Amino acid sequence: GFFSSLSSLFGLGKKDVNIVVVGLDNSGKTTILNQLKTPETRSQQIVPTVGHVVTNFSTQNLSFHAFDMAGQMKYRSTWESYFHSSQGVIFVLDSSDRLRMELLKDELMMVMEHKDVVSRGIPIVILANKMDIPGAMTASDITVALGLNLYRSGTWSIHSTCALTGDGLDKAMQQLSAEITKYMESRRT
Amino acid sequence: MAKPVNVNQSKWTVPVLLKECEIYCPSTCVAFGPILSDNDSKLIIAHGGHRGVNMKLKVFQQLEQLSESSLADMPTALVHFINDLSSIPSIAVAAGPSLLIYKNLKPFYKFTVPSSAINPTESEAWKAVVNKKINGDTLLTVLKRLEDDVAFSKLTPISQTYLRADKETQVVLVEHYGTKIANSATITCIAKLTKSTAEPLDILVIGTEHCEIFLIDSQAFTILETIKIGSVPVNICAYGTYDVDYRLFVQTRASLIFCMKRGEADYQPIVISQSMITSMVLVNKMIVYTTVENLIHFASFRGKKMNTVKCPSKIKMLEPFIYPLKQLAAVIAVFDKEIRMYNEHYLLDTVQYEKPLAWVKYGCYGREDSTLVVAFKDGSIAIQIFRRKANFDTKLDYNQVPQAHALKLQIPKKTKVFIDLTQREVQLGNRIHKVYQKNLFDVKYRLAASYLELTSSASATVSTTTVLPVEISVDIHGFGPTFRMTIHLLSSSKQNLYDMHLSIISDPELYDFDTPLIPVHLLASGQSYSFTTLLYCKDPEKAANCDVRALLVHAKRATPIVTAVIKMPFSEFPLD
Repeated sequence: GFFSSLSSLFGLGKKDVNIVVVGLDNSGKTTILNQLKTPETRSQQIVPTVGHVVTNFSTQNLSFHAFDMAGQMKYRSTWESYFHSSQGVIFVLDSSDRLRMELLKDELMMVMEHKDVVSRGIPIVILANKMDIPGAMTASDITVALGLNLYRSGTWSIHSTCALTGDGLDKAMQQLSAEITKYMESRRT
Repeated sequence: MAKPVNVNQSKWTVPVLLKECEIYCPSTCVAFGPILSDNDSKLIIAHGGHRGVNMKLKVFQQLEQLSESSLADMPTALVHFINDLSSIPSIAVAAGPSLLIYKNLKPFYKFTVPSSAINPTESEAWKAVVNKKINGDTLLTVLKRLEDDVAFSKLTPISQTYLRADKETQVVLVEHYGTKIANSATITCIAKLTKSTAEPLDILVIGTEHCEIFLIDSQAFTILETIKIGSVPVNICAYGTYDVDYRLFVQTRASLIFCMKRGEADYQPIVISQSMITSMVLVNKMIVYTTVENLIHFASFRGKKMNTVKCPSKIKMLEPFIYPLKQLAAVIAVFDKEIRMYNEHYLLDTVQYEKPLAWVKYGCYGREDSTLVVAFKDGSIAIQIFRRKANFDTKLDYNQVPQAHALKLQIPKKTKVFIDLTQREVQLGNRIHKVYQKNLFDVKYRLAASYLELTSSASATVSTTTVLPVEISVDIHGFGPTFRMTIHLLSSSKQNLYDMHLSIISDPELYDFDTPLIPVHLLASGQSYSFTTLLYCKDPEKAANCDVRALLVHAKRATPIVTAVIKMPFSEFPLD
């Protein structure tokens, strides 16, 4: 309404949203979130996450609480319990990891077909990270390899990123913000 | 290609092929483990090559080959072990009588098994041939005699080679190796044993052709223990930790399994198999071994057999499977084109492949803990990962019986009548039995009596023998006093009947027959025969009649084969 647009104009009452960041271990989830933070709050060393870590950052009109989930095998079963309380999912993958592409497909399908994701229609943004590594697969290659081209239901988009430099992250986050805003609008009506 | 059938229900992800690899090696020459500073678990393979050419130690990372280095001798086994907590782990390759240790993919140390005693005659003969006192042929004769006296396997490896080599090779052997004869046994198998949980260093366990097992400290390469057994070890499985308590399960070429415990000197085989043992692994505190009869046996650590699986075809090898997150444990059995997973009670999973398999290896590859590396006969290698959501909920019995046999019998519920009757039977069992026996006897008696009556009176068409079924029917034509009697016979027995007579009997006061005895030479099966005779009523004025009997008899039978009784009509008076 009028007040919300007014408040967003002043940048005061940014809407709070929760997002879940999932993906296999060593795909760069924590590094991406670190990159999204303001330069002065970034940490220098990234260590494998245990359990989950909550990271806060904001874009123009949204204030994100990102649940940075651990990607190691023993923690993967904890991902799904966070879907129902979030308004978006970021799935990070390592574009150079051809060995685990089939496992990745399994895990991504489990996320995309999870009842808390499907029934609520929350947006999923897939980040094909580590695009700077020589021999990494392109976003379109990955789309085919994961069978995403056959997956029409749900709102998903894929972006090539490089977490070390931040390339492609801005575009991906803009898309995510737009999708989440759209999702919140549809929820209100 | 390498795709298994039924991917959707599979517990494993779709296999991914390693790029440009052609690997031919036994399953003992494969190991997983981190060997470089990046802590990423690699696939290490000692590639056997082709007849001593192209023998390589290959290391794979992700889907590509990371490095390869040449091997000087044919590898028999390979193990990845930790010998220094502060630096990276090492690789030990068993080749001939030596262990080649690689660290950071570079040759680091060579350990050779100590030489056993050499037969004095043998060493003297070799000394003599080197000093040109005797020639090569004499050496051959000496060795041949020794082979008969001692045994081929007791000679040194060089003598064994000499005995089986051709002339040219023999000369080369004398020139190159004649001066340095050693009796180091070839290593047959290798295993590792953790020193203690607090200090996760590995102790190497090697078995040799000379029936010895050595426990070697991997830091200084000193022999900690030497164990002599009665048979050649071919496979060792270690359990426990060296400092606290350990057990070594040793499979030997004589199809025995020995168990060696810490601090025990006397080793008796715990498993003695009648047929050859082909593979042995430890799963879940159980010894699992296969025999050539396509059987998988599950035995306890004491050697007590718990269960046996009958397999449809030859089992190539076994591989242990553990998934600690869900506490799943099983054994993977490799067949020609499929793998099956068994635990001690059930068949848990079957994966089929389109190509014949060579071996499989389960462990941590890359960053995934539960990876299965599948090698095919054609040299390609595929990688599968155990799915996170997979479980062993669907279980099948080992030795499946057909469905109809597995059905449970529908036993009806106990009704009041049933219970009453049962009670009665229990209480009056004796009497019921007696009454039954009496009735049975009565029935038999009455049957016999009526049969006797029937045969003695022969008052009806009775066939007395079931072996010769013959039907008889009689027609009487005429009004009297002359009648014509036609007898029809039809045999339905399988074979033809010969040499019988039809005899016609009646009161001789009343009737007179034209031919009272009619010869029946042949009764062909299924054919109808008719015989005719005339009979005269002697005194029609008496107005009397009686029965006439027609009997089919055989000279060698006491009783008639078939009998017909004819009731004669009253005779008319003669016309004249």
